[in-house]
Amino acid sequence: MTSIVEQIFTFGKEHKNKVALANGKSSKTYGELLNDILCAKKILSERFKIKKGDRVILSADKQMEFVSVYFACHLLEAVTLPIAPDTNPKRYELIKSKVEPKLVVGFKESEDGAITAGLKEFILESDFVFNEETAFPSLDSFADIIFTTGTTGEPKGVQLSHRNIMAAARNINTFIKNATDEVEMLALPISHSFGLGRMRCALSNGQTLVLLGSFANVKRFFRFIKDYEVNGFGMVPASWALLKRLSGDEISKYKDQLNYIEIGSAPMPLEEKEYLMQMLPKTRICMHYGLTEASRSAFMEFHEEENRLNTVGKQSPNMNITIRDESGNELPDGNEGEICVSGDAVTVGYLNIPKDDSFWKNSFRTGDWGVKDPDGYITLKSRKKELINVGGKKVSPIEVEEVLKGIDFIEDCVCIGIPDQDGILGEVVKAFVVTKHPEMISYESVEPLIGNQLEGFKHPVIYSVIDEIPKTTSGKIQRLSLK
Amino acid sequence: MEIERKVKDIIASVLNVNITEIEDDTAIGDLPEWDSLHHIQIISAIEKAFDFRFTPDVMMDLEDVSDIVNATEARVGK
Repeated sequence: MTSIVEQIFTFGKEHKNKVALANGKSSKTYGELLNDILCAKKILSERFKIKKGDRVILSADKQMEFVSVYFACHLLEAVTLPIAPDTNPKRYELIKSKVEPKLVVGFKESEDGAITAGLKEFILESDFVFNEETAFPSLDSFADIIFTTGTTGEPKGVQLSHRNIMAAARNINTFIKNATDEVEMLALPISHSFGLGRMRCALSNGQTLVLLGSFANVKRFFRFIKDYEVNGFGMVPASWALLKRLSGDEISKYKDQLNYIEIGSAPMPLEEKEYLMQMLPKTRICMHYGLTEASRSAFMEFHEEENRLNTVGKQSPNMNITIRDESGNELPDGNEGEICVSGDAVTVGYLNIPKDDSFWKNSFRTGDWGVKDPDGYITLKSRKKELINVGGKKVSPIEVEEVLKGIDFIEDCVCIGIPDQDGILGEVVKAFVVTKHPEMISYESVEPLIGNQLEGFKHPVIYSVIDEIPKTTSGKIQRLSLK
Repeated sequence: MEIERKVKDIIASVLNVNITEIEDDTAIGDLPEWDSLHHIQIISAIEKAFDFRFTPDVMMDLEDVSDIVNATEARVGK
């Protein structure tokens, strides 16, 4: 197998007139996409002197230009860091200091003098066509660094090689069985591994990818499904909860057209899985368990495995899942232990963190606990406990607590995840606060003080005043005792 | 105009962006901040501010800011 970008070029050269990208306003054929990628490559290398190994931070906005610049970096063997356009300033500065980027694309200029550029600067308006022979990246060179939410509140950079992202796309497409002539819609954020992964899966498979801003635009979601004859999409359980709330059973009108859906990033209640199966009796509804570090480690398809809906499925094609004890020894089936994953889609390691901390030999330690039955089905017992999962996006309570503690009338606080009362997001953040001014503690009074220090999904929605923070005798905060 | 200004204020405040970024044809999801979580918060904040509930068929018909303004005006009167 070759790198994702080489696969796109191989397909694109043979199918220049096939539509690669569309967004309701315009579209781009594979021929035009290749041309845009080569143009962006030329500008990256000539104007910004980007070369192999340089790091480029990309504002991962769901625009066609992003796709071009992303793959242009890959052609140069430069390492991309796609991050959300609304990343909070503290996290953004922290990421920047860790990676020392050669170039920042799509963010406003910063005071530290980092070289910045807008996404539009990489696309030429003219019809100039590139005919140069292109060299493609080695599978062992680094492609991306994706920052995840660490339990300590500090983001961790997951380094992915071209082999990693190629293998992940191959494994996913093998399981889902999406075909080249099927149209996919991407409504997930492209700054997260799920959405970015779907983009790579569809384009490396020669499919047409329709870009939609958000599932929240439910009118446009259904219009695109109809107009573009969409056959598949990826979503998180919160997207489904939102679609259901805003549109009832509208999705069932497309039961003969939707061939596949991929679900992931957060647990989905059993009744929601069953309801979705009723709405879409013929669709391959594939749910994954995975992490940025070990993309789509396990998979299941709801209809084929309807008796195992309470599990996260079996190891994905070409992935190997073992259950291990705290010394790294593999445990027999039926025993509970840490879920560990190996395979060529597993990260080559974290940025600036020794590999030994997160691997047993070549097996990545997920930090999740589970049990495997003799048929290979894995049941999750507990997740990395303290992270809060807001609609599939992970929130470190420590990061939120640090911001709250910066407010002068909050002496101490602790944050946990509680079930979202609206039934949409799975979990939302609740803050327990120690204060001498309980009259000041409410959503209305604290929310404006958080402002843009935290992205919206990290903001607490419920506040409660407590006398003291529950701690163990050794001083460790007992967050789970507040659940 | 009063309702329009108030609805745009709510949207800008939930999304934590400048009100000048909220134009009539700004579509839901156009701004990176306008994700599912914020959309639900916008809907809830408008319902609370004007004391009514959007029906599902109305919510399904919202595509951009002007749709939200029009739907609100239709419920509370101009």
